[in-house]
Amino acid sequence: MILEDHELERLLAGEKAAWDRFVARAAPVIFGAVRRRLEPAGRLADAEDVAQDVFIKLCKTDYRVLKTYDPARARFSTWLTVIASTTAIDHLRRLKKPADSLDVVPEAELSVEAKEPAWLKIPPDLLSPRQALVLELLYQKDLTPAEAAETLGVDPQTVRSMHHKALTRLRAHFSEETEG
Amino acid sequence: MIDDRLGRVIGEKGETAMTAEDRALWRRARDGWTGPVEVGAEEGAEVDPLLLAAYLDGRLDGEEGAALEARLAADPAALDLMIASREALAAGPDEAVPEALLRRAEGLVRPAPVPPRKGLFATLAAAVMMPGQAAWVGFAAVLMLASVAGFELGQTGLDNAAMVASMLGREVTLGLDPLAGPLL
Repeated sequence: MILEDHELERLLAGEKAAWDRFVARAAPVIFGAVRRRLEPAGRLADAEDVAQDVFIKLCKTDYRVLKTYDPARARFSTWLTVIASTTAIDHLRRLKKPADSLDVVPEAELSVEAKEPAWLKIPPDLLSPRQALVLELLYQKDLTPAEAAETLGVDPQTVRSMHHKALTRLRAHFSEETEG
Repeated sequence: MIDDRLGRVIGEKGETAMTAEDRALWRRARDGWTGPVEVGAEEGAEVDPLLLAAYLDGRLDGEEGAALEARLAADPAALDLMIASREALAAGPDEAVPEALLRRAEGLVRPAPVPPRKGLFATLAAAVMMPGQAAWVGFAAVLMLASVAGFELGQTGLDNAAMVASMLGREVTLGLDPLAGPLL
């Protein structure tokens, strides 16, 4: 347990000793999440600074972000992991941001590809959100079914079943489109 | 059943094998698919960390859960965040935290400043300003100090008057001048 309820109250009251205890307990969670995200991108050296950014985010403006945590909704370590992962992703995104202004980007690269009319004809209830998410994880994120199952917190067989049903529906929909 | 193009197997019966055609089919469909809108979500806004944490903890059900899954399916950035958070949770905390990070993070919050020691006047003023009985005690202390000081000043004044009178060679009574006329 990183933070008991009474500890959170002391922390939000600005008690220095409570903050120091919080730092000692939260740092492994924050640093672990940040390092895990930065290492594959070759930015491990930034991990300490990004973890420090997470702590700054948590305490600045009279603990504004920390005050948004609600123990009734989620575990503190899970919430902290999401905050740390967001900060690491934002850091990588900022590094990736092209320095070139729009003026020097060739016009062809700025053009928007026209959408095929068929794309706009998918009925909202053709796939359930979870079926769409399964397809996205498998085909866009290139996860294996086992990885997708772990990500969704479900059994791998559930992923297989959803994948099968979703594709059957999509095939049927597009074959009707073609015939129609 | 092994699909050579994707190099993986799903299911033993083969009917759920992933193929390049299936991938193309989803890519064709995904931009046209819209699920239920996430509760309270604004277009382009970041996914609420508490909502995502609740989802990762398995505490989101019904409409709220379906709306978030729809958002995850349609928003690559939100999905990246979910996958990264899930992986970090599965890996667990990293105990090898640099000592420098701990010291820097601790330094973000400073101890509350110690109030300065009050002088005699400030203490008396504070006592007078205190509510209830404490205020009366403070007031009495101030009154007593004033009385002692006044008595001392009065005594000194009488001694001085007697001395002046003896020098002038006449008697002086307090408040009445024998040389002066009647009061009325």
